[in-house]
Amino acid sequence: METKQPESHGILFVRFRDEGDMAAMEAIMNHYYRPLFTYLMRMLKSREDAEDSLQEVWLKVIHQRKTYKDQGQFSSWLYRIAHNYCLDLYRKRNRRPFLAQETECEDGTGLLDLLPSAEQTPFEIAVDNENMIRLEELVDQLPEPIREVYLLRSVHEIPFKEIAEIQECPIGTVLSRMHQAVKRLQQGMTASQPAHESA
Amino acid sequence: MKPKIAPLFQSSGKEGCPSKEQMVLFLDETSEAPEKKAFLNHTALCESCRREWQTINYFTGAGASLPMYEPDPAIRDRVLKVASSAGNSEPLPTNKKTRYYLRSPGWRLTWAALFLAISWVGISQFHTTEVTSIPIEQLDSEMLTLEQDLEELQFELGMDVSGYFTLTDERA
Repeated sequence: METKQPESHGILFVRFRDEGDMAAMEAIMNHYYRPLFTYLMRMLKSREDAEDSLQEVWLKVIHQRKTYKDQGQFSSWLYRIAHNYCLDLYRKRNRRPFLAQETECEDGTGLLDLLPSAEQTPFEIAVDNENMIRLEELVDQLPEPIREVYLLRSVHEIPFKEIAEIQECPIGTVLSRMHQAVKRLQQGMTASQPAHESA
Repeated sequence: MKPKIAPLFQSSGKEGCPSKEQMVLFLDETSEAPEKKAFLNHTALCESCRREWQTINYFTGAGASLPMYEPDPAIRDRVLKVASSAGNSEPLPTNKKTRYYLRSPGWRLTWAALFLAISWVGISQFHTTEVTSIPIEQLDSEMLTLEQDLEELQFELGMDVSGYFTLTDERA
């Protein structure tokens, strides 16, 4: 799967930063408004917190606009701000921080029965509402750092190298977290299959 | 027999198979990348890697189909308002000479003196007007005068203005 990073958003943001171009800022907000909120909803699991955070993250984007480097991917910069904001919120609420031990690999062998059949594309399966609801529940149950990697890569299409920058960890850790996410989701989906299907 | 592609990958333990992390990294690479190309050829012959790769692809693709949440649109408006004022209040300086000119210590003193002078002139313009209190014994005559003024006003305007003014004696 090839990732597409809209370079134009970086250019648009530079236009807002340097020239105060509001049309550019509006275009950026139109593009990232819902995805960023979805990310915050899935990270914070509370609409109220997510809406407060959404506003705060965008205000940080505006106030810290001069720290944005022209060469950088705008999406990575944006999600790094959002990631740091979530971390601060966790710390303030004495919630469990991102734990390294949660990222250790688990053996996921023998759980490949859920694989789609050859004629069924991932998209066709994705539109299955029941599977989607279950998948959403399972994503919400993933430990924070694993969930974040999964969301950033799968939903927001941020490359792993940039996720490593966002999470400030080696890329190997990010790849391991993604693999764990896949395995945990696979386990969860397999466990939720009716007996007659898995038999 | 599995093809030998070990030089391209870190082995996951099985001969010629990439590690799980390496497979995950292939998600970011185009199909034309030599390592990924070799791996895709490898999956045609290796059942284990093929199933693993399908699983990774399936769950990565499924995440993109998760529903999006809709935030309150008022937040967007508030943020854009702040963005607009931030853009107006802090235009980036284009002339460094002017910026130094404004920030140099000598000019800072000048600006401070000018500010004080303007403030002093401004303050001197605002005198508090003393409220004239009317002694209670003069109140009757004051009411009478006001009533006369009102009558004169009505006469001059040729209309009844009593609806606009009400004279009341609150002593009652």
